[in-house]
Amino acid sequence: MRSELRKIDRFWRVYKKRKSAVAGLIILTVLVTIIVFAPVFSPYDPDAKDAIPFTPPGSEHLLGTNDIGVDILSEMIYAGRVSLIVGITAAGIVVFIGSLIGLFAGFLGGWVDEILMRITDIVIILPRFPLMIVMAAYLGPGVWTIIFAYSIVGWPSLTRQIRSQILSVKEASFIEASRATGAGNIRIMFTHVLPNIQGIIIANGVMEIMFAILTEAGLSFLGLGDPTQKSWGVMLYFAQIQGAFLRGAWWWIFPPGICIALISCSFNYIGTALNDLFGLKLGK
Amino acid sequence: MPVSRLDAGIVQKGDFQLTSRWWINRGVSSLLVLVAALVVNFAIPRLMPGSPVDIFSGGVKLTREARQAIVERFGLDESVWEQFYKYVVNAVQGDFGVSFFYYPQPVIEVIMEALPWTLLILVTAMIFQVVIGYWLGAMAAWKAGSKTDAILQAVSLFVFSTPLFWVAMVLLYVFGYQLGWFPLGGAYTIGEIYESAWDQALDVIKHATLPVISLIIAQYATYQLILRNSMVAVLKEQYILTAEAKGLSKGRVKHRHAARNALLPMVTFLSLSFAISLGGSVFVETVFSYPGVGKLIFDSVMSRDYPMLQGCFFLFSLVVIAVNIFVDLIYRFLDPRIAY
Repeated sequence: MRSELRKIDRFWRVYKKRKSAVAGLIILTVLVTIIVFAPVFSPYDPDAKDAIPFTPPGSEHLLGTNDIGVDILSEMIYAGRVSLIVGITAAGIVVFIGSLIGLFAGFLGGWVDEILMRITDIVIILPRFPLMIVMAAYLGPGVWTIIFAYSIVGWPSLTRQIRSQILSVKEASFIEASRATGAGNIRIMFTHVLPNIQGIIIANGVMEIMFAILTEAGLSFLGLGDPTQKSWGVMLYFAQIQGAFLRGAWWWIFPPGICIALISCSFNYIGTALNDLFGLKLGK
Repeated sequence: MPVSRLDAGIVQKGDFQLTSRWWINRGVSSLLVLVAALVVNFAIPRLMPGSPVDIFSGGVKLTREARQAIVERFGLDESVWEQFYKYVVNAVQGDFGVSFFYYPQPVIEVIMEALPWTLLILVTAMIFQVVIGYWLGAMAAWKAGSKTDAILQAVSLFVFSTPLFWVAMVLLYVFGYQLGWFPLGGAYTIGEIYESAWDQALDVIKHATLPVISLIIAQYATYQLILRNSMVAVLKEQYILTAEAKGLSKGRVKHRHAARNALLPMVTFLSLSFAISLGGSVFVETVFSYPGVGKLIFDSVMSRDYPMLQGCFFLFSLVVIAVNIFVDLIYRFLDPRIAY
């Protein structure tokens, strides 16, 4: 317990020297707090359609209202929940699939590696957004559709990174030692190899959340999101098709995009920093 | 670090040959991707819940005869292998069926009308992405560790995290709707009679400007980061010191000796970047109502025009495969040490 704390303390001391990483952490904390305590922060009911449509920002509605008289600030705070949950879920699935494939390919080598990496190469070349759009179009709009489509195409680049990390860990002497004690492949993979690259997995997982949030926003913007569970992307979809441009409703166009950019940027800053820090720890 | 032997004069240009082994290797991997694209296209509608006939008819209520026609068209009463064979034979001939939305126009015809517009904005954007990425990346690497470097890196990470479609929306709102500098959509002014070819070209350029800028913003940062990182490593090499000691100008050392030898990772990224930009064209063309394949994809999603959607996906896969081969050629040219 003590040594764990000391580890975290040492880690934090290096981490806090990076301004962008600290900024990312602050932005993320603020946004997540607002999103989690949405009922506290949102001034109106996000489903109440009782305001005057297309009201510009003012004292009553800080960010104005949309075409059906919903307060944009409230809508946006609640939409953050959908964006964040979808992003984290999709990223989690991708990290799971990607690490597993990378682990098996890298550690087992031979024909397993050959086949898995061939598949990885193919999936990485196929144009991923069009592929996701085709899948989502057949499945019909919805949150799970987006998570599913992202999981199918999102894993290859992670797999490649995990695999190359595994290749270097594989040669370590402690792996040989545990093999000498008679441990089997599966046991070595999950008790010795995986814990050694967990830092890289965490760092990539954080980056993956950014990609997942951006992808969710993109697919939702194309009308593939769930219109009853509004995310930031869905909000922008409605802004695009319901005449926000013609009405000059900048307050409907700008804020959701800024939210997406801020949250994914903070994940990006944190992920980049973690990647560097864990990369250093591996003694490279 | 990659040091091109071409630079050192060890390898003559004539040494750049494409062995038959290279072609076979390239051919097999391209074929695999092609088959994957075909399998995906073939499998998705057949794996979906519900009867394939309903899916292929776009959910429209059909007469018995029409149902029978669809069953025969896709061979739905035959075995999976026969269906796949039929599908591949049709696809190879460029036959992706008839569009639901543009009925009775064949899918391939509609796509071919749209493709030139997409290629126009994509290729233009790509040139600028590379040039801007190169310029900023070289600057950041040259001043590595400085404040300029830190700012350039922070900005590029921010740009990288901004959704492309939103960048396009903001550009359209500010420069199209508010300032009125650029048209609000389309690829040319409809119904306009041009006085000269120059006028027409200008009109097309005006319409393409905002879409192209959006695509540039979406991708330049990655080139910048890639070049910066590889160039920082190159700058530590001895021959950079030699070049400086010889009294060469700063610009010459920076571009001829350092950046040029750090270019390869950037070249590798070209094909991936093109694939990403293809995806980006869907968003940009949707926002700017630009009549390319990307807009076609969006419209097909809206109208559930499945044959069109699959045709577009297959075509994009073909383009990506072609670009991959092309980039590989460039790579081999730049670094003849790569053997296959």
